[in-house]
Amino acid sequence: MYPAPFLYHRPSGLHQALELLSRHKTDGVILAGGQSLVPRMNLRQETPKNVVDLNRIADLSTLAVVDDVLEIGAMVRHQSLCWDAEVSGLSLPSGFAQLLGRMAGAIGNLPIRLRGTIGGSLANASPKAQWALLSLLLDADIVIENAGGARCERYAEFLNRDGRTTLKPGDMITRVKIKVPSAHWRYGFAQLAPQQNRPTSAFALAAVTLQDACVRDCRIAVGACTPVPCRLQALEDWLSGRPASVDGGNDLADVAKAAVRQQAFDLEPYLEHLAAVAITRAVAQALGH
Amino acid sequence: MEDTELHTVSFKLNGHVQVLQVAPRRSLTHVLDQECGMKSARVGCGQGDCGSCTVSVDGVPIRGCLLFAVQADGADIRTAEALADPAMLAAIRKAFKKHRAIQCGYCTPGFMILAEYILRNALPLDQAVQTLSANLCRCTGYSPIVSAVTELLALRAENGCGP
Amino acid sequence: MIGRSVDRLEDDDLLRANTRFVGSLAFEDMLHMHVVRSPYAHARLKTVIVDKAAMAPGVIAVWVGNDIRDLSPIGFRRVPDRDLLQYRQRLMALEELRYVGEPVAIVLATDPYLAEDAGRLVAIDAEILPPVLDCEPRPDSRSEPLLRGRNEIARIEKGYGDIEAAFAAADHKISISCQIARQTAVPLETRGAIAVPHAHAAGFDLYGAAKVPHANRQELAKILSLDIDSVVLREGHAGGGFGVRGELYPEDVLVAFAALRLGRPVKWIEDRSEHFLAINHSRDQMIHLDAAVSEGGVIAGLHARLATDQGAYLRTHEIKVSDLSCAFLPGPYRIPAYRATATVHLTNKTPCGTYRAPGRFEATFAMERMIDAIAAALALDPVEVRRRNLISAAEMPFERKIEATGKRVVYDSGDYRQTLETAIEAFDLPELRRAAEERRREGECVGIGVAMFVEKTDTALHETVRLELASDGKIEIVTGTSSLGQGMETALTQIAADGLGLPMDAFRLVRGQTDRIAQSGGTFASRTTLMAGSAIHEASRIFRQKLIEVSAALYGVTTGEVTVHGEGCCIDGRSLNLLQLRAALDTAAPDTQLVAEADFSSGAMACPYGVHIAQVKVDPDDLSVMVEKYHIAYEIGRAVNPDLVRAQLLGGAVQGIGGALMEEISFSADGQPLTISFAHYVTPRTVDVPAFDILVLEDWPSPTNPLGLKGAGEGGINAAGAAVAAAVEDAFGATIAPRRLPITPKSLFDLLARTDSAHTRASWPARQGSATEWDSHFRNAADDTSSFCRGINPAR
Ligand SMILES: Cc1cc2nc3c(=O)[nH]c(=O)nc-3n(C[C@H](O)[C@H](O)[C@H](O)COP(=O)(O)OP(=O)(O)OC[C@H]3O[C@@H](n4cnc5c(N)ncnc54)[C@H](O)[C@@H]3O)c2cc1C
Ligand code: FES
Ligand code: FES
Repeated sequence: MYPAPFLYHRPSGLHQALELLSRHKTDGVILAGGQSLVPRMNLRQETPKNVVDLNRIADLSTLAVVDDVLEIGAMVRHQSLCWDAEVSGLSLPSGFAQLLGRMAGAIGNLPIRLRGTIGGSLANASPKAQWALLSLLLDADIVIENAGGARCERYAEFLNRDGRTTLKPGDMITRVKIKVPSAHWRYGFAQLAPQQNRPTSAFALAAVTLQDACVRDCRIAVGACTPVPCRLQALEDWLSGRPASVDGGNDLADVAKAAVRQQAFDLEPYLEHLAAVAITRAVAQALGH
Repeated sequence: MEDTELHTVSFKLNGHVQVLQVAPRRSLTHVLDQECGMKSARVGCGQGDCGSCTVSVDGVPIRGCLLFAVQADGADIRTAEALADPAMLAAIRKAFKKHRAIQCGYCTPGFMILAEYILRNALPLDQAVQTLSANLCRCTGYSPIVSAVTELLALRAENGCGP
Repeated sequence: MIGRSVDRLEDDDLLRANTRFVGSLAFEDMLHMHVVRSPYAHARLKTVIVDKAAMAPGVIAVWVGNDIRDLSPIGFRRVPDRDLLQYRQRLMALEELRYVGEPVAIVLATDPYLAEDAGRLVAIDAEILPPVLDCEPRPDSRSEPLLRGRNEIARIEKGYGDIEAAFAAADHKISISCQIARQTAVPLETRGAIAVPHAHAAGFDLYGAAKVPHANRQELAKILSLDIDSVVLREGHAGGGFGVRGELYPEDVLVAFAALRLGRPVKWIEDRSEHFLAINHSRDQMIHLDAAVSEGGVIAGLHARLATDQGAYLRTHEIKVSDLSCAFLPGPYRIPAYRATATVHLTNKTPCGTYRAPGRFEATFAMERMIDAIAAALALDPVEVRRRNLISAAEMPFERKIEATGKRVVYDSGDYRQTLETAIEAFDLPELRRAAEERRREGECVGIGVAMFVEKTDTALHETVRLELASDGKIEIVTGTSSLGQGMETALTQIAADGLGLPMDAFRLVRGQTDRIAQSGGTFASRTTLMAGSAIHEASRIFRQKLIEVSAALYGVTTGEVTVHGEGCCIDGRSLNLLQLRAALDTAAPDTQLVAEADFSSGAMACPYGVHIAQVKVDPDDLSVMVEKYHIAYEIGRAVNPDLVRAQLLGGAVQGIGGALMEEISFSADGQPLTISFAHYVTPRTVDVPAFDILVLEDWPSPTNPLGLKGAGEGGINAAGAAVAAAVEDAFGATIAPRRLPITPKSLFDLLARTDSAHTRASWPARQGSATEWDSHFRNAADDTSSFCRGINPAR
């Protein structure tokens, strides 16, 4: 349980970091919070020869709203988004700010959240990552830079269906940009685990706006039980226009299950069931049941 | 490749500056234990799961097994041997002992670090329990640990500040 | 002192990290060992190529199985059958690899990181074979049995009474099939060992010892052909044991071998993923029960068939766990006729050994599930069925007429019925049930489960202790038993203080140092307080007498003028503390030793017992189970330190809840372990812990020892699986009967799906032994195949 030897680099600026990554394209790796990378290195599942530590690059830890877009630096720690002190200055709509806090708070445990970063989580692209679910649902833009320049990718394009990202050697996620949703949006987030505080077995995120007590806009995504998080178009269509009092009961669960099935991941019945439960809960929450 | 490249690292450990030469791959826990003689620095899993390695870095509890010692350059590190506030340390020890929150004691330093964070931030009880769930104990069944922290929080509330 | 919940003597050191866990120990010139392990579940080993590793930086030596061919495998502590010796595990593999994790090579290097680097350079050339992963290879699988014909290596038969007659005469025959998954203890500290060779003679000190240092010393000396006195085991602190730590494992012998060969201290620290592959696993039993039952729910006969998946080899505990399951399955019930057959099977998995309440956690689960099945089938109250079958106080001591690991099973004392009623009243079972029912009516899924059990406190080996006045005036209590976190230093010191009438700080406990005491049985099966405590009790009587005599001689008074008093003694009205006495002795009669040694042995085991009542809440949607409340009534005979007893019960129960709901070691179809970290092997955390109510009863002191003690270590875990399963069953209004542990949300989902889809819903009773749960080989072995598919079978 000891990592293989490596050379350690601690750039103090972004430019220097990108240079290093470009120089060590074949055998270099980014060290962000280390909460996924280091466990793997400890098991020697990963044996990079060069490790580029981003923890001293102050520019990557900024959290700001620019032109109605929430920009989260790649090195922003999960726990920062749980802390009022850090989030309240951004004057985000309260429901949205709360959602960020709740999803961040659902990650692992405190020491993990205090180190782990959003950039690391997105790059790591675990199917059980809360940030992946959020990024998908809110069409986050991932800003990726390398020594050659920068690009910006919609999350849905950034993550392939096979669970791999478009990141290439030398690439670094520098920021995540999320258009701040209007204050009308209401959210529901449900996470299921066999026991509390354990890796989740299914989670779902729902966002709705209401008009005349009916659902107007609606976005629903499910994950953890699927290889990648996915939007459930069929369910969104079904829910749109329905009264907000729509019964969170059997109908919804059935439609949810069918929508999940449509994704053709060929889930075992238990996981399908869990997906439906998570979705039903998230939707009910968003609708204020 | 060998550990030819050594880095000079300096950090404050329990209030005293330490300057060490370390190879990048040595974990903070390993260095605290083997080089600095901190017997509270313990590995239970090396995967971030168990919390035996929990130490306070710049005032927050982190997993020492997932931090390379080189990364701790310039940090302010506290271990269970000497928490920042001696009165709080004494209170934690007393409560842990009183509530039988220790059996084999392997997990104890990690829980003490969490307890200190909980107390310093006066977390509400439900959050305190959630926070304690970061670490594993295989002996006590936890409820003695939770009772100890509950009492410490109550004391803190009574005194208006640190116990 | 006995009976008081004094603070633990251990805590100050633990709270100050003033500790001697093996991981933090270091010696000059020390080398580090890394073990290269089999990546295959089953393979023919052709060659192990070590050249590259041997040349790697820092490497001093690399050895493979062939290099230590002469060293015999680790023996059994008890040899039930010489035939079984062939299944012992070699220290390192020779021709065949039989499980993922089996040691193949060791690398010795100057640094643990370098040792692991070099370990990666060892190449294993092997021909992969299909693994055996079930108790009996299925005819349709690719598996080829490990052994010719079949992989059953042992069969245990126990029984008494006329079982055929019981079934022939029974009103009902009720059958259930239970299964307990593979689990293990996972103490928070992994294993570790440091061997330090002696400078001037062949021999070594081994640090990191625990549990049974004396037995391990003997075995190490035997394997390494050393004089027993040249092997010294040293226990420091140990981060939890629970049965798995402290057994002699290949790594312990390998560090010693390497240290002797290289003449340098050698350290090995197990890492967690290694731990999951290398340390003893446990449980992994299937138990099928047929009961012959009267209309009133009285069991006339019980027929048990067990199958244990033992893993790849037999380790120190050989087939003991299966034996214990058979012996303790009848529990607190009379059961006039009983027959048990256990088969032990080798598979391509990590070998199994004991884990807290070995054999009993499993047996209690099956037996209590049977009682609940009888209650359901006959529409009786499960508590009433228990009452009707309990052994009565008048029958004590109760001779079970079978043996457990070669010793007669005799329940020493108790009134099971009384304890049951005490628990019902103290915890207000009727109210618990009423409240649960009300919540169920309101749509919640809440249930109450009751389980009873009998534990055993092992007294098989004798135990020697010595009290000795040390030069600093402290009385040393020297014992070979072991501290694994249970608080034995405190409890044993209390007994000594009580015996001598001196304060606790007059003593210092010395434990786990084989050069300080000639004999010890060790620490297992909850025996320490009883065995070492009884010996201390006797030793302190002798010591007291000697103290008086020596003091009298020293001051030229009669013994009648000396009393043991205050901090030492009172001689003719003059108080003298022990340090003063020591000093006086040193001047006047420097050769005087104040030493008392006593040995305790007991023919009979002590049998603590108790009642567990669990209240669970199941989330009807995601099917996660939360234990809300947990009650334990435990008859301990006499509690030396009631808080320590409670702590054992609580900690054990939480571990048992893990076993009931979460913990399972599983393997892929090609035998790769899927459970190699805490992320996969889910154990309880703070958020899973129920409210506890624990009643420590001292109504029935054990007649087997002078203090009336019974053990405390295993009563918390023993019935946890049974109580939680019963509560889950109750939560679902008995529409399902969980008979496999752990009860995970997925397993509940599958159970419910089966219940829903099946026509069985209509046919009464709902609960029955489901043949599908059961491995096919029992069906073949069954005398009456049809009975498996029917819950109730009027025999007449
Ligand atoms: C016990 C435990 C529980 C956990 N529970 C959860 C959970 O419930 N939910 C969850 O989402 N996660 C969980 N995690 C993972 C945790 O959130 C990690 O922090 C996260 O997945 C990775 O972030 P990091 O900053 O630690 O990245 P690192 O571990 O440093 O890096 C992860 C990977 O991403 C790459 N990388 C990092 N930053 C960048 C970047 N800016 N650009 C490009 N590549 C980059 C690295 O090279 C590496 O390959 C858990 C971890 C542990 C140990
Ligand atoms: S050792 Fe760091 S979390 Fe287990
Ligand atoms: S006291 Fe042993 S692990 Fe917590």
